[in-house]
Amino acid sequence: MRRLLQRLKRPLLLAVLLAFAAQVQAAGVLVVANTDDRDLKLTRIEVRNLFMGEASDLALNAIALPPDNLTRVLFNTKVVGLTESRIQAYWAQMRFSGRKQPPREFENEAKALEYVLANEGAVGYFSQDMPLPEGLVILYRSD
Amino acid sequence: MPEKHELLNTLRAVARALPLLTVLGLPCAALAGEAGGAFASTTTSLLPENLFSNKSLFGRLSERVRFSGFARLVGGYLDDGDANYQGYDNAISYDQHSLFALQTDVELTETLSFTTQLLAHASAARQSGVEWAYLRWRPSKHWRFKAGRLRTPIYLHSDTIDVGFSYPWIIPPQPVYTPYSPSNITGLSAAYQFNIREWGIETKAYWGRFEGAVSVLDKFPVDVKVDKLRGLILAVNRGNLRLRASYHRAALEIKAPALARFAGQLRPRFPKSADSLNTKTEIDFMQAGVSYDTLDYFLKAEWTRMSHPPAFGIPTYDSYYLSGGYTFYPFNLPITPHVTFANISVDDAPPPVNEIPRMSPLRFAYLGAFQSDLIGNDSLRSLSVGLRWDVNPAVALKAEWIHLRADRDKRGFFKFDRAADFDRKANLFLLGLEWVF
Repeated sequence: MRRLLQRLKRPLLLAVLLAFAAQVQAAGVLVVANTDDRDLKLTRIEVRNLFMGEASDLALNAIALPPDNLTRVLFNTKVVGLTESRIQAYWAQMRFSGRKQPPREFENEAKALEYVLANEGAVGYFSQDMPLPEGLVILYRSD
Repeated sequence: MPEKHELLNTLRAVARALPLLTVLGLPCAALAGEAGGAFASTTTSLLPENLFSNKSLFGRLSERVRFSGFARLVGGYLDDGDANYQGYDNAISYDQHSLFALQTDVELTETLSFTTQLLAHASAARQSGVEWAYLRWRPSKHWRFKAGRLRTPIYLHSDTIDVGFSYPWIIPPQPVYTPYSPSNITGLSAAYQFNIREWGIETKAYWGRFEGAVSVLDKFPVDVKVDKLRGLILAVNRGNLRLRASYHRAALEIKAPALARFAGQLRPRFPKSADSLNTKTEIDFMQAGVSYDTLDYFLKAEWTRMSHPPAFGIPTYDSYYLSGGYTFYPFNLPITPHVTFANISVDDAPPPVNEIPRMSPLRFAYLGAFQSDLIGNDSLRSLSVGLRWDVNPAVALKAEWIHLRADRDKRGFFKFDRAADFDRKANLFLLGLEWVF
């Protein structure tokens, strides 16, 4: 029995990882803003630039979720196109060269939503299952 | 055990610097406190009940002062007993690239901030202390001005050359990231950034100076004076593609008083010989780099060229590197193996002038100058294979093997006994721990 388990350990682990990956593939993220411009739409690169602190003429202020948050993992994968570690390396480069600071982080999506609702110009990313109140504008929807 | 001893020394150096870091951090905090006081509508006393409440001095401090830092512990070993490469030889040493740094950002007003970066180096070749201290003014999201002690903005990674966490290697490819250039300057910079659709563009101009020592070979500091150092930088990015090109100029002088005196003695009778010992010139430096990152892989390449009218002990060269890596996810933690090829082709220094008569003792002294460590062709090729393992979002472990090779008649940044039969080939093995906080 033990030997069987030993032999199955790797395929099992792989299966779990694949299932996780499949789930990640299935879910999407929404990028949502508190703005008066109801028709505002952004491309993936524009969203990426906004959250990576590039200068932009949009009066928008990006906020983020913590590194271990699943929606952040999705956002990293689908929008930024970098792993968390690469993103951290980028922010280390920006912070220690005095260029820019990473977006303010909120504990969870509920707190992030609360902040977006209360602050004009605030933009956050949420999982597509998150019930969004009226009045917010969806700027971008990932696959 | 010598290795253990060195590790202890490294830790001691860091421990010694800690009080310094704290002491220097305090005035910044005090400054913020005053600034905070000027902006607060109510005055607060330092009574214990006020100290930790939100509106207290302490509360305002924490809003306006941000501490962050980075540390790296790097151990290295060179597999050749005949040579020393940038401080590494055939005994394990921890003190060449290990360091600890604390950065304090103080927000003085909405647009004005003050940053200090205090660095404790384990290496004797670099001085510990204030690596950076500048005022930053951001009047809008497009403009950024800095004044003070700044990092020399030469390469793709020179802004964060000490933050090993920010790049894949343990040591950035040395044939390009040469030890020639000083790591910081005193000066001003102005940057303007904007976007055209999906392209982010940053243009930057800077002006500054540097006076101090650069260590081309291990334990061979050369006093240099870099004046009127100025440059233009254009950086363009779209998504995770980044391009950077820059052009720099400076008046560079190697300060070698004995040599200058000797040239002075030669000048009346042997002006050409005296001129050939001139250690002052106007340098031109060009750089171009590209970097591309995806979830699975990265590619980087960079090229530089240094040119100037001939001067004693100041090289002209071309250099480049090509680097790429692929990321795997065993155990859900990213591991990135990478390969880098780098090359520097240094032009041969102008030969001695045949002007002084054979029998003159001055001739021996003159030719002797050309035997000094100031003259040496550092052409070098390197091939490295490394691994970066991101343990968590703030810690990375790295390993690297660098094969270094120079032609038999070149020096290749190696320090060795000229009498020894060193084959100009060596392998450098490195292990590193990178941490940001």
